[in-house]
Amino acid sequence: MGNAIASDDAIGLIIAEQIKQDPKFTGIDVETIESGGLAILESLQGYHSAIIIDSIKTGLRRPGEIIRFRPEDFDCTQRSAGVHDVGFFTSLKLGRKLNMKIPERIEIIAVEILENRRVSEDITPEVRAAIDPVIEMIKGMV
Amino acid sequence: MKRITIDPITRLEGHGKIDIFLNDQGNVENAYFQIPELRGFEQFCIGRPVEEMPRITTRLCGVCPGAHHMASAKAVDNVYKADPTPAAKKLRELFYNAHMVHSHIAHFYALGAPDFIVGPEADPAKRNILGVIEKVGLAAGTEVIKHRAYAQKIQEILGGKATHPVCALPGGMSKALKKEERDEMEKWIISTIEFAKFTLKAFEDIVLKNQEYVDLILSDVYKLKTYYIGMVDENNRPNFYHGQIRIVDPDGKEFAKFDQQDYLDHIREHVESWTYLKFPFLKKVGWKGLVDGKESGVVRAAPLARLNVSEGMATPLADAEYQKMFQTLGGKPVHHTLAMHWARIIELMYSAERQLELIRDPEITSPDIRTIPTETPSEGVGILEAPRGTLIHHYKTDANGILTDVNLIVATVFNNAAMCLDIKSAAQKLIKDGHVTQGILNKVEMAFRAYDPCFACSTNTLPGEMPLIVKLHNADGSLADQWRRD
Repeated sequence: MGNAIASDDAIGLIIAEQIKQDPKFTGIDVETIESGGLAILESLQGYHSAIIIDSIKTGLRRPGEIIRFRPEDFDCTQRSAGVHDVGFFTSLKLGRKLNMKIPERIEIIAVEILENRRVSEDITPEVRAAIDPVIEMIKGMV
Repeated sequence: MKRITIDPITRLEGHGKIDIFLNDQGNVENAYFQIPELRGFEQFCIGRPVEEMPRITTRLCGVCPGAHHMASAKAVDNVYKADPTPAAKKLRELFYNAHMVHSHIAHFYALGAPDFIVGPEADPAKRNILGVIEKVGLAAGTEVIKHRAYAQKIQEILGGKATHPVCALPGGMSKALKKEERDEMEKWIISTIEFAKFTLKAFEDIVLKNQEYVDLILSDVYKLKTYYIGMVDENNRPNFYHGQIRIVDPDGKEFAKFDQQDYLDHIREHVESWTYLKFPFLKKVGWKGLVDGKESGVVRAAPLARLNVSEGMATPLADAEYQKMFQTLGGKPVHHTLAMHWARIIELMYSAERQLELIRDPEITSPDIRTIPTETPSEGVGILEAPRGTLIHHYKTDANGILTDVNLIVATVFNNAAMCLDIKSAAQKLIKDGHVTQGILNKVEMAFRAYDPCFACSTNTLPGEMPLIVKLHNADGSLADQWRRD
């Protein structure tokens, strides 16, 4: 997941593209997505397991640091205060409530980023350095 | 003086916030809606080939890329003086109505409906799409997801990608529609008409049959007498993709009607130092500040505005609902902001019906989808109706098609002044003697939510939440109280 023209925010998309080209990964589907909310729900439908690769900006970690989460780690609902869609976790809850076939196991791999406000297709070297470690991590998961 | 800040969104592109200033008696003296939004796309595009614009501008946001793609394509057509073929125009309009369906479903069920179906003063934890599903039932929830997905699939087939389409080229489209794709889409569209009927019926049963909600819609809390703008066909009925721009005054009388290339004769933009968002206004009336009325150039866009500038809908089921809405709400124009939600689902029906007309048009599968540009590029304007209002793209290029000037007036900006006015009105009428509750704050938020304002989508802050922070400041600036909702 990410935005291809928002600097480091593209990190998830870049890693996914590399996995797509890597012959060592077999038996998996790779999809890149540049939107959120209900669109993600549609992408997850029909799978029993999913790994989501995305950027994260906490400002508390070293840029390029890799963090693993599960949806259960989050207990928040994106409220409807002004954006046009629902949040990822609300989408997941919705999918499960509606008995949609949503992956039972969802792993989230997030890379701490430095820059996501600049319009650019380039990512910073610190964040780029996380690409290979994330791919190695995923090899151990699939 | 006390100050309350509603700071709802912290996101990639910035955030919107509401500042409410109380006087010493605890009543609202003033309120401001601010958007410190990323601007600069206009400057960023200068120096690029104009034909890239339909693909670049879809990245303006993740909410209405389809609208930017098509408005941009229309502008580029005009830059090259390349009028698309009839089949290309129909394909674009079909795509575009699918975009409207997808957008209106998302707004109504995820954002608008929680206030009515769950209740404006309900527990914030329940006032969301999950709460709506609890009220209307799981089967209905499945239908919401299914029909939103149908609209996405139609956009994907026609646009190449559902979210960031790449289909429109100068003078037409990049690929024709196959007959088997047409047949599949027709089934989805027929189903969507039934879904629109269900949505209108649910609105009638849950909202219109509840006198409390009808009173809320008709109350002075959410009422502004403004001018309205929208695109209409030759019979003054809404068309989202092509037509003329029509403006009516607060009495509903036609004030102006013009072709897209003449927009600068009618629209100007005012700038205030306290927000990055500009304030479009009617040039011939003038900017008189943040006030409504006939003497003020404030003009509103979006679904209610489109219905107010029209004389009926172009499709039968939507037209019947149109007549019912104006009859119920006391005639045209309707100035009640919350009626925007009803207008939005009438448009949902129109878009579904219009798609069926287009998909059944024999020309929709024609391979003649492109007029090859031969003229030297120069200048072009493209206007259409985004889900949230009139959207303008205006480009100037050199003889090689390199952009020298870009002007974008996006739909949310058209409603900027009205949102400020509605928020101030709601705050003044609801907050008394410093008494502020979660329910009251939500009712203030409802004033701008009705417009379906579009900021961007991505959130990368831990933990991906969208907090609402309300701060109450004493007259000396010290913090008196603070609320947070996640």
